[in-house]
Amino acid sequence: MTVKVSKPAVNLREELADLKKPTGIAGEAMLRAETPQEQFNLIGAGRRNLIINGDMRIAQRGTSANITGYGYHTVDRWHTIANSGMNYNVTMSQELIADAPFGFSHSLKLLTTSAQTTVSGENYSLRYSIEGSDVRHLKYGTSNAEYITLSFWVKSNKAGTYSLQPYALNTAGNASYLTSYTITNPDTWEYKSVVIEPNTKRSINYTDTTGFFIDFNLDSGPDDIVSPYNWAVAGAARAVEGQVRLLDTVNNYFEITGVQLEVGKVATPFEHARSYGEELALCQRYFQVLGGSGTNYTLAAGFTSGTSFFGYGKLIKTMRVSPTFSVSGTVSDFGYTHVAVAAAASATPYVTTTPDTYFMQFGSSTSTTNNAGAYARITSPGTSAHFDAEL
Amino acid sequence: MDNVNITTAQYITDTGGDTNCIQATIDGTEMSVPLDPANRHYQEVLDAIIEQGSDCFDGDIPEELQAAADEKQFNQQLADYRVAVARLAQYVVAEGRNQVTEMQPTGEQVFNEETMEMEDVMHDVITVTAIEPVEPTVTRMVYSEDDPMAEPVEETIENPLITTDVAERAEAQAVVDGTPQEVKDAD
Repeated sequence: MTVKVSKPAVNLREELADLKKPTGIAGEAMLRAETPQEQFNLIGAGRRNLIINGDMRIAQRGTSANITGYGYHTVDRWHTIANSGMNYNVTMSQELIADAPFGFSHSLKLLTTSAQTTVSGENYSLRYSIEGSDVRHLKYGTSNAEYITLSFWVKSNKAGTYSLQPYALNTAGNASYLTSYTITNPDTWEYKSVVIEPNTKRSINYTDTTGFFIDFNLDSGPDDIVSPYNWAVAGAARAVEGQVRLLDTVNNYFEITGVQLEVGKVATPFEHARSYGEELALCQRYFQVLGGSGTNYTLAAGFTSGTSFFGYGKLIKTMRVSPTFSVSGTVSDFGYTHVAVAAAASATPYVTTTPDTYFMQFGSSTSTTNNAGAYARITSPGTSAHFDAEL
Repeated sequence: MDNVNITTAQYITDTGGDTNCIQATIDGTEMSVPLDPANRHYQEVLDAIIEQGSDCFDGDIPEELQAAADEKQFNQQLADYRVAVARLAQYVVAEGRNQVTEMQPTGEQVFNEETMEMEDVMHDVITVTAIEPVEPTVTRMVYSEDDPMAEPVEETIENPLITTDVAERAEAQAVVDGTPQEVKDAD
């Protein structure tokens, strides 16, 4: 006997189409990921930004300074470079700006205050330095080295080509990468992202000294104009053909905020996750200010000897290395007091530091009891003690 | 090098007589600099000693600080020397590079009836690839700045690749020539 079974017709093409999942490209990548680590990397989970104070909110040294060259001047962690004996006249400031890109309140601004022509191998750059121990996961010098992506918001009155130079430091020989980005419209905030290829050639010194830095070149003499290169053994402070010359006219400016450096080939949105307190604490590993508030800021506890004070204090948090001490303001605002005697410092204190403590000694013109308990203080809000352990 | 001006550095001793910091005026600001090699101001003091000698110090430079400066200078010279030697070892772009081959075992072996032993099968392997020399000159069109309507003129110049190579080699050779013999001997 023959039994006939009838089934509805099946359109094989449609059935296969139904198998497709309702996911976008990113969703497909997530489904294809073979390990949790791969998924972690795809969504950029965890703390991503290698830059501290990328949104320029912290400026412990002050909000504006007229500068002539190298150094840390205003916004924390960012410093200027002046190579080959050059000097310039620039105002470096932290700006509280109304037209800031969405989500950002502050920027770092460099304003040319005196025009000059940069010659020979002179360079004017803005630099951000990172400890070697903080970039070990880039796996530089191995075949597994990572791509990294730098993103930022930038604004200048001068449209054109700006050079960008990541630099990896190694005692066996440094390596650098030279690339560029373009500011298209003058006086307009623009978002930029630059993918930096893996550095498989050179490792990094994985210590608490500088292992990696990025230069934002702002002006360069003709001797340092070269072709872009991919992790070559080459000098720092180079620029590509067409580099804008920010020093050539008074009132030229360069303004930047929202700087993020992260592992991967994609620039993810800026990591706003850090509170002001967290960001300040990260900056204080490199620079701390004691004082600058009130007229009786207690600085150290100790004793007197003749006209001198000797005392000990503790830093706010452990710093990268033993910091350098200096006075910002007026030296005579430093003083010590015991019982009814108050004495002002007659010279800059000598301060011996460790990464988390300091021992202070200074003299005065006032004679006091020997070996009396005393404390050192700062008597003016305009004066403060600076502890600098920057890279 | 970055411009940092250091004047009147001096050693400071604590109440116990131990030397604990350097008091120095750096870029016009008086600072207490710790004796910590990872502190950037300490390194700047060493740089000042290398460049200025005792001019940056009040009195004689303490022996241990001078020794630290000498060691830093030695290491800098050695690093520069190595980079320069590596640059000079690169081929001359105007001359190109010859191919180099080498006999290497294939991984197979055959039995040699005369010696009654297994022997490696060898073959030629290119260990250095050949690179042709670049053209000695290139031509470019030059337009008149005074007369934009004028026809451009063809100009022949030295190949910029050769110009750059010659300049870099000369710079590297100058570094090698200027390196003290004891630094070269340490390489």
